[in-house]
Amino acid sequence: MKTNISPTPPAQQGTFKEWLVERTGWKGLTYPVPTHANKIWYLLGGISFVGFLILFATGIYMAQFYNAQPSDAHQSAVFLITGVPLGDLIRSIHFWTAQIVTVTVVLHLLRILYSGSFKRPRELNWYIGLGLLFVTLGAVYTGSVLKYDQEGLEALQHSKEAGELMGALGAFFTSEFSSTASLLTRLFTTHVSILPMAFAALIGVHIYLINQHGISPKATLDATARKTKGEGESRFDIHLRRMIGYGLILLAVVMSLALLLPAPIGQHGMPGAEVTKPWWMFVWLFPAEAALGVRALIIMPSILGGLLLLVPVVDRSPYLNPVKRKWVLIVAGIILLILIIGGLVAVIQPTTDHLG
Amino acid sequence: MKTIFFRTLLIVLLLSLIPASITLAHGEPTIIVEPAVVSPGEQITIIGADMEDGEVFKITLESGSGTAQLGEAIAIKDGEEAGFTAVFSIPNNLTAGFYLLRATTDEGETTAADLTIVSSTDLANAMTMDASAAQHTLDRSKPPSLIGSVIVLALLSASLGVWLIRKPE
Repeated sequence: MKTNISPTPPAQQGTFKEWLVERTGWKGLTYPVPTHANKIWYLLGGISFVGFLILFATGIYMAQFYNAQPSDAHQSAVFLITGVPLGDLIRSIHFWTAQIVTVTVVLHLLRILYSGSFKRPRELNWYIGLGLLFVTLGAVYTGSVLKYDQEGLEALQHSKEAGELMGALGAFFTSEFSSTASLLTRLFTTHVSILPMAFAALIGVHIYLINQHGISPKATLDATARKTKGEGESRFDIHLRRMIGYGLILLAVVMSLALLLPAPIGQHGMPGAEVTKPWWMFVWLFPAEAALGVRALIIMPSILGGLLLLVPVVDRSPYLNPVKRKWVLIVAGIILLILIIGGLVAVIQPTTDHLG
Repeated sequence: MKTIFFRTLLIVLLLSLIPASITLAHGEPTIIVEPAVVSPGEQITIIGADMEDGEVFKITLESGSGTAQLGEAIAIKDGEEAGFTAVFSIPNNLTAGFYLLRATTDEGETTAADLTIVSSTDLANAMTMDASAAQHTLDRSKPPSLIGSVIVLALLSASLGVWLIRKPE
């Protein structure tokens, strides 16, 4: 029996684009997405992702010069600014990217909440997103401690006390957790390895689930939650191109801010003193801490986290339009207002001693 | 989904209660060390609380390179609870670094606090400063070539970004 095997056709002379498409499968990214997915409100997650890439690149550079021993940490942070080539610039880019990413992550969450994008079948991705919010805020907190100035030292002391109050859940933050590595060293490890690994795992699942369900439908008056994979008039590669575009603008903004307003660093920390206030993303906790003491650092985030966990449980109607979900959004708006007012009160409030 | 949510909540609450139950049954000793940053040869004061009358605590300094014995402290009843205030000298042979100051009884009760040992020069520098929220005044000027390069890179990045966003589909 004669078998005919067709030989592979000889390579065609083509453009570089064709060469690249053949080898990378780039055409696989041209699946349909809805047009509204290309608006900035639907690109906030992608912009945050690009921000994280900037944070990883700048963080890797800084980690080469940072010493996570309590006795040397602050001095190494100062040396990073004054003695390391490009150190001040890279640190400032890292700082400003962290500030902006916090804003874009929170705005992304608010957009999801407003447009009902967490509804069936996307509830699981809401929880993955909350995990990513936790990772983001955890990275901001641990990063703020590492410079080990007065502000960083106070943040560390607060977490130690809160850890002691939290029992088994807070054991990591207590001195007894490890006799060979200080809490500062462990927070550095958390900042540079545990949180980035958690981010990688969570973002992988987050993107996979978005791909499985498709972009949530536009929240028009009668729109209901449903799977939209394969639907849309635009393409994912266009969505991706816009995401990279906004990411490059973000890079330009943080480079400019790094030049104009270098990242701050305070004086060497004095243990036991309390003369600073938390960073703006945690400052809403300050009035509660003044009223309830360090336990406010556990109670308030637990309440807020609990409410966010409850969102898909409480808001279960299939409707996406805000008009049809006004009570949930009114409650969310009131909570947001309380946080903003808390932050404003904290600005005018004097610093007081909360540590035991 | 509701069931999963409430079960998870219950597990978290139970976990947070574990040490509370231990505290209620036996009482948990605590120590505070002052100052938290010292140099070799200097003295530290350890204040112990929530202990039982007559309990003997061995005081040690632990680090990655080993354990140094400082001595013993005996808890004495003062009011409803017992505690101690003990003064120890930091051995001159200890190197600068992070240490865990641990108080342990023969029965295995243990409590710890952080202690940082720094060189006497570093400590002298630190002692001249008060706790301050003020920023460091560092020379953060940059060479014009670096400023120019960053501006050019920022402009290129922004231009490319705008082009990618505005490029027709």
